[in-house]
Amino acid sequence: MNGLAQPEAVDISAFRRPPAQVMRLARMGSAHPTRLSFLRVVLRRMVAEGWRFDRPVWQMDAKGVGRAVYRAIGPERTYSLVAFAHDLPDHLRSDRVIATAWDATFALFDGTPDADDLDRLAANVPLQEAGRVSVKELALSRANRSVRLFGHVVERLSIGQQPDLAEIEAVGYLMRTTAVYGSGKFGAADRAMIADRPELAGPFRAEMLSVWLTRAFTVDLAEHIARAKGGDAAMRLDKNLRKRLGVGNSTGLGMAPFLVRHPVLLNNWMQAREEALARVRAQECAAPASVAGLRAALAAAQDNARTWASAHPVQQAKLVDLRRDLTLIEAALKRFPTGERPWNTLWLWGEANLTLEGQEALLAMMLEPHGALIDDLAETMSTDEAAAFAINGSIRVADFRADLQARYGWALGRDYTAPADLARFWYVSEEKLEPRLGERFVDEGAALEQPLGIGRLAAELASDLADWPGEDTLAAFLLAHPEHRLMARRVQQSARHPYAEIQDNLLAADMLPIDILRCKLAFFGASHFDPRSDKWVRISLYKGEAFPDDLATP
Amino acid sequence: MTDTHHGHDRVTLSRNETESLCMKAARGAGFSWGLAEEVGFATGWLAAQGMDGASALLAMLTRKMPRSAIAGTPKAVPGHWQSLDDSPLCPIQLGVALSDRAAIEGGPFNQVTLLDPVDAPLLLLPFLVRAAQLSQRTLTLDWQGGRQVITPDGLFNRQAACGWIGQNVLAMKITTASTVSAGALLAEPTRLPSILASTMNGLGAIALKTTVPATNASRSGAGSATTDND
Repeated sequence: MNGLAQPEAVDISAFRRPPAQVMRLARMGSAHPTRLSFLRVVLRRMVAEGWRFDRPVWQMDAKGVGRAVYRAIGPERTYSLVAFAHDLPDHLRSDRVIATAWDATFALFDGTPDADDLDRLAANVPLQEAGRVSVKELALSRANRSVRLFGHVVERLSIGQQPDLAEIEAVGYLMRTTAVYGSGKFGAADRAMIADRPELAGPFRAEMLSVWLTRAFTVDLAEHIARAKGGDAAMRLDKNLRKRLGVGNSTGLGMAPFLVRHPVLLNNWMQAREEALARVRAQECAAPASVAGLRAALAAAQDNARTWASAHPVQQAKLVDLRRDLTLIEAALKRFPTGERPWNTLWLWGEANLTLEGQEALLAMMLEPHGALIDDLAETMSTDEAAAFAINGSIRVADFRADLQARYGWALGRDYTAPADLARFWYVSEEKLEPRLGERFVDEGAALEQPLGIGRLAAELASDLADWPGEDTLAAFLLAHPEHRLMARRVQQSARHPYAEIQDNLLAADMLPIDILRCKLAFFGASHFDPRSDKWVRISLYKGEAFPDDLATP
Repeated sequence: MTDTHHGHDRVTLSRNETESLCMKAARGAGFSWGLAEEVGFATGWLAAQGMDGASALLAMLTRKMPRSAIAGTPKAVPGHWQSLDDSPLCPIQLGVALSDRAAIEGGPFNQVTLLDPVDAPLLLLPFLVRAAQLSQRTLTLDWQGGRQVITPDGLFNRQAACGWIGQNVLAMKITTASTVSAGALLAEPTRLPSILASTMNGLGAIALKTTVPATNASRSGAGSATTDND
């Protein structure tokens, strides 16, 4: 794609950050979205390919109850968001995954739905988990209104006034999704069915497209209700205000195990980002346009930090760090670029002078003006997990032990008997099959622990391997010790995937699940990370990005 | 939760759903997590071939669970694999043990290997296909009244495979060659199979054994406890 721009002659390995630095929860929990984040990749591709957008169905009553269809029409294929708007009594409005009714429900349809498809979806999509979709659907989701902002916007527009900027910035979205399901959930198409389509080859692109079209729907719905209410007096939302609206998302613990369960995928996300940083750092000089792009990225980061609020003490402290660091970066950029390899000089300055928040923000800023150099890496972030699944049992136990020592040294130093080292356990609740985190020495259910304490699993594997003859095969060991099979697979997968493991103890008393959530959500492209506890967060998607009618009209 | 889809006689699960359901059921029945992942792989692979491995799994677990779902661990005697106990060979433990040895010199794919009766042999097929791919050998399986040939690129005889559906136990002999033997090797495009809703519900009930009953404390810790009307 951008092969010409790659620094092929330069050995960039010296500019790569090692996994031991990158794969720590404290740093992952400071991740910022970058131009490699999935929603950015989706938007870039649609712009580059000249996608068209329309809204062939809009059947909505005066209260905003009805259905709509939004189409994204690409060069080869069309995708349609089918939206159902409901009349939800306030007492049923819950962001929990265990809710059973929502303000709006959605499916991303593969193609253009006909009347039969719409009837089938109308009978199932509003039920969400309790319904069934089909291989024609790529994603299933739902959203609730921000009662406060939605009401304010409708009220103002209906009397011919624009909403207050301060109100918009305080909330940032008209609706927030509470789950976006893809990849074969509830009967939807398996990922393998769409993975060979270039526009959906990267991770979570169908889900991100669905959310982007949902954002357009939220504004259309507010304008529709305002018009029904105010008639000719009503006005449409100003485009500059509109741009400040994203789609909110409320995410609990359920998302955290994903990164642990998909080590090869996690590696590919991390490795792409780290490769991008290394390419930028390795450049000999800084082109004027890239320097200007960096300054623009700083300005955007400062604007973003200004409107980024959180009531959570952990995040409040991080926001203090971030704002101070952005001021330091602003001062540093006055002298930029200087010296040989100015990007690397800037990066090393950042590592020496900024908090983790500031360092990871600087990373995102440094990637921003380098699309031609790094955007091809977006196509390396997916994986065929089946290809890395089979265990090679022919390896000798002695060699396998050495691999384990070499790659899991971070895990083997602890004995996992101190209460603080195994204070938590991950489990799935019988109710709605929801992932949760328990206190091992307080709560029931530790015998049903999920295998997410990778550090402890590695240590247990090492302990049993120590007593096994080194000349024997791994296959023989695993036949006798099936309880180590999951961990043995991870050890082999990590051979070619250095960023596959979070190098922290996920059972520790002081582990913060929101650090895992933030890393994953940053790769999605989420901003305004706002933890509501150490286990669940609100974020915003697409805030500041274009709307369909900004990109193209049919 | 409403039972909208539970009322139907048959349901088509996505491959992802089949893998996830069968993995959890295997874990609920007593398989280790790593073996349960292999059960997910096997049943998902079968679904992608249009074959209902979920029903084979449920039947096997239902037969075995009163005593032990994981009985039938193989003893890897070169040339003749046998069960360590009086149960027929477990297709999952046997399958991964064979597949793990695909690249071992002098392993089961460098000699004639007899297999004592294998429980739910349909569940063994995905591992033998994987072993043929990993070892880059052609596997010929002979049993009383039938033959299956699996090539190094994973092609197999669909008709012979369908003959294993519903089989409870089957003894067989594996011979290998480095060349493809003649035979009708079919690789048709397939659709995901529909399965009985009772199969899905039966596996779901076993899968539930991996979960922890909710308490008010755990519920409030997982997410928002408020009505979120802000």
